[in-house]
Amino acid sequence: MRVGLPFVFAVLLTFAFPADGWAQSAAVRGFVTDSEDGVALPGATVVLDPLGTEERPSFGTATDGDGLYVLARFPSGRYRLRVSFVGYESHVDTLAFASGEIRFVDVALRPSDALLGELVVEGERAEDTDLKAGLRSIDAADIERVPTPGVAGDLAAYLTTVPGVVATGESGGQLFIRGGEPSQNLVLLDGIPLYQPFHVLGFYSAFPAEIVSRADLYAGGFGGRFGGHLSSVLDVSSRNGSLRRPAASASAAPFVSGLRAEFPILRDRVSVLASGRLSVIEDAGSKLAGEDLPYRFGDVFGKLHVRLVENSQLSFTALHTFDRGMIREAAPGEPAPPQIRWSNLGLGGRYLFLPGSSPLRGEIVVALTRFDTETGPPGQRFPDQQSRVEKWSSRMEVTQYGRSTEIRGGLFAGTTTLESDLDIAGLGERETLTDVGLYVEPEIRLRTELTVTPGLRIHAFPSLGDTFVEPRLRALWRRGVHQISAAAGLYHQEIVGISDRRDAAGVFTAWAPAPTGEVAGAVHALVGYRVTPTTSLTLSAEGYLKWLSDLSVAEWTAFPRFTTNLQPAEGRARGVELSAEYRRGALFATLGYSLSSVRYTAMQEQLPLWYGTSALDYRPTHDRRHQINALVGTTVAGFDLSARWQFGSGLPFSRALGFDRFLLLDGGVDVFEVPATDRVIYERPFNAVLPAYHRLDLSVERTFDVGAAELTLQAGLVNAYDRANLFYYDAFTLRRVDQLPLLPSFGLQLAFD
Amino acid sequence: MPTLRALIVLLLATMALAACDEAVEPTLGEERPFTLLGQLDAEADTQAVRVVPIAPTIDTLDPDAIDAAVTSTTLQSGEVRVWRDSLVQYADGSQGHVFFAPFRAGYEEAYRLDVTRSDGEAATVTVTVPPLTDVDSLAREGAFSDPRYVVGVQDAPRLSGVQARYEFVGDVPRFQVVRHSELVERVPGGWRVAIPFVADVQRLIAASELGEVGLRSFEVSVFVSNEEWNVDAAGGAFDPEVLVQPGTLSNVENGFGFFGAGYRTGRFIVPTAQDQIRAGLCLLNAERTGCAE
Repeated sequence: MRVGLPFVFAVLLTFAFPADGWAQSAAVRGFVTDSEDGVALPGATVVLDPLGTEERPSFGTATDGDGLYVLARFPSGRYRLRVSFVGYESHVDTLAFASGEIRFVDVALRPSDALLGELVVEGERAEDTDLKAGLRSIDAADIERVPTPGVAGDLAAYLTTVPGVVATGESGGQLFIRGGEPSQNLVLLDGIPLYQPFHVLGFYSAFPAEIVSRADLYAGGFGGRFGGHLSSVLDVSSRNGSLRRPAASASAAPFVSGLRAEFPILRDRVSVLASGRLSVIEDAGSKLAGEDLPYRFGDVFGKLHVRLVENSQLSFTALHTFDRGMIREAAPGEPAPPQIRWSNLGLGGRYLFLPGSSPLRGEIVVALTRFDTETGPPGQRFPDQQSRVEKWSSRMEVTQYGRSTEIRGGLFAGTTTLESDLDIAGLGERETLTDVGLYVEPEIRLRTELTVTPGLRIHAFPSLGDTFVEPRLRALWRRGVHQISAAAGLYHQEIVGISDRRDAAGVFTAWAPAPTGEVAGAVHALVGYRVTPTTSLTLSAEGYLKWLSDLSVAEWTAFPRFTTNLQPAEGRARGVELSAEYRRGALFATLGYSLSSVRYTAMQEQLPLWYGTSALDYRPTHDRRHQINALVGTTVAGFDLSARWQFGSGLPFSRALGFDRFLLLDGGVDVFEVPATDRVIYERPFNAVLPAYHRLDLSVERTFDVGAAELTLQAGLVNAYDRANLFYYDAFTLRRVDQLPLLPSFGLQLAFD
Repeated sequence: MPTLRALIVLLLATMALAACDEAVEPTLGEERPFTLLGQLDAEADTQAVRVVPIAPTIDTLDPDAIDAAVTSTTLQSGEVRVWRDSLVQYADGSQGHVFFAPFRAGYEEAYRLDVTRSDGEAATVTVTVPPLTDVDSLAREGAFSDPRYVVGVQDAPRLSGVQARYEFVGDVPRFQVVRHSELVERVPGGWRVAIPFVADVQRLIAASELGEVGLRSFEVSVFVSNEEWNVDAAGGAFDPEVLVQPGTLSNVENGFGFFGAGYRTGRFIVPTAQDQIRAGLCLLNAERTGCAE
């Protein structure tokens, strides 16, 4: 008998999560989409109100990233189904459910003609986009509000407005999240892990707003579904292309120009979304800035989405990015500044399935990702350092929906190949690791107000003999306008990124298995409070603690050169984040403040000799103590205005006493013949603090109808008051390197929808 | 409206102030004037020291002209010598100031070296040249497959610069040196060093992809050093990653670096025929010009 994958999947799920009490209950699920283009609407509110019986409660949920909603195990009978989403007309329908019935009801919402723009900003955010214990859900509209040089927004620019996210520089593409290193952040695009998706110029990433459906940023305390990284998760879902009509846009700006196209191949069944961007900053931006901006990058994205049948979908995602730029100054003896280069290739397939016989959701993701990075003089055929990581990964996940529980579980497996020409702690040039594991994450609504999500993740590396059992817990209590959330968890990272972060220019990262033999671990604990005193205002506060163990950080050395010698370290990060968000009419404003402290305790073997102590406690280069982000946007006379101001207190750096030379005097040395190497006379590592950083960005934008197309013109200023923000003092030369100067920008976009 | 105007003025003033650059000094500055590198060599006719002024930036290291005067004083006799400056261009493209004085340092003599800047700031070091002694060939020891040839040195304050020097016969680099300072052991009355002859030669042959090779000579030499030439605290090894940290091996007052005293001496050793064969060497013919048939 030939058995299809959906059938096998359904059987597996049925055995995995046996249903109970189906005879008296019913279920309804479906996809909520935009009626004009058929694209899914994540975050739409779906409510089922009972008809005829006052005592029966209502049931509600919100659509997930696929626009899917599931309401299960409610009593049979007649109900009114209400589906609403900001900017759309609500859908209301009356449905009668028989006992044991599981019904598909897809809903296509019509965009509201009246006051569309205002509704978008006025409406409350849907339930699952609330700030919950380290989670911030971001949609394309959020991204578009942040001024960037050019018409289209980018997720990278948005992320730097989030309290707790620290970018040590406007170039380099390094984001530190609540004390975690960039290599400790897990970034996923449609389930494809990406190792360095942020472009060399900090405004841009592989995620332009045009392709983003939703991005979930877990700054800590993430659940059992995610693992293998210590600090945070950025889970990006790309949107699907239009299923009903073709659309395209082209944009040009002195920083980045791009193209987007989407169209149905089979109406309502198969769609394509493609996007490509290429930087032009090296030429056009440099002229505007009056100084060299040696950055070049680009990305190409494509997605094929297929609605196979009513209850299953298939999508394929492909992404390629490249970056090159000169961030560091030339080190002593180097003829030119080294150029950092990297590229990502991500390919993935995702199959979403809803068995007809039970209220389950199944998902299979298969992905290949490859990340290459190298550094060396520009144009040099063989780089000074290079590293490659390639990973095949697969995940199968099922979710069973009940009236008061939602059980999610999954299996995953992967093979990672790591190559590097660096001599890292005796590791070979090529290492291959296989990992397998499973997780389970039941979401239990204990009372109306309280939802608890305990989780467990078991992650094994058979080739290394390591198995990690990681308990997780997330909880949410809600009453009226108040909401308290908490999360905790244990995390491990077997494959680590190795960087020499003695200054902010140390962006080259080689990937390797835990080089010190000990696998890095972390414990997270966080608690947050959120209140919505009015429909326009949201206030939130969150505190967090992260304990980091068995880290590998660059050894301390007075030699002015890149090092891959590593030393063990422990760390901890703690902080409090406050934010306020106001939306009224066309006005949108957010204000965020972050108070944080990151400490590392390094245990280099030579420390007792050098400093008379076995452990050295210090603030790493990304320990930004105070951070303020303010963002305001409004529409005046058809012009969209936005301004963003960011402030960061100074980052630690190593101030030196001076420079001299070093000669290894092992026996008599002929000082007429033997040269001596440069040496930095440091006092102690990270013994000083750079000046504070602050910057104002402004943007004005207007859209005109031009026949069948829309023309958007944009003008903006980056670093509007031309603040000479200090990027870093080179750890080797102590030369000063500044961030971007005042940069005017202009952009236009022509869109056909 | 006046309030709005005042607000705008305040905002512009704030922005203007905010645009001001905040400076921070990347270097704290260092009062100690010089780093000294080198040693007095009792076997040399001319003594030399490299003098590196402490620079505030890496670009100003090793200037063409140096504000330094170097003198040495023989403490017992009080004899003062003025050293001359020379600007040396090294093979790696760098340059440096090496001061020198033509005299032979006496065994067990104490000297004070003063390097003085025109403002009077001076770096000073006092060293005593070790007494004259010899390297003794003590024994062959160790496992059958890993024999060690042991040498001893008596009455030496310290040993450094231990070298096993191999002279080969064949189509190979004639002299090859393996450094072994990490093998120095203190014993009653002196020091001993056990040289892993077979392991050394096997490693050299493997690294050089040598063909048929014979051994013409094998010499162990050491640099008999003054008491301050001491790396015990650094694990007993001359590891540049450890010693590069300023102050780790330094005897300079009011300065950085190290200026020692000593001399090189050595001993030729004849390994057994079995050990030579075990190491992968051929036995030389009677003329010692090639392998015996």
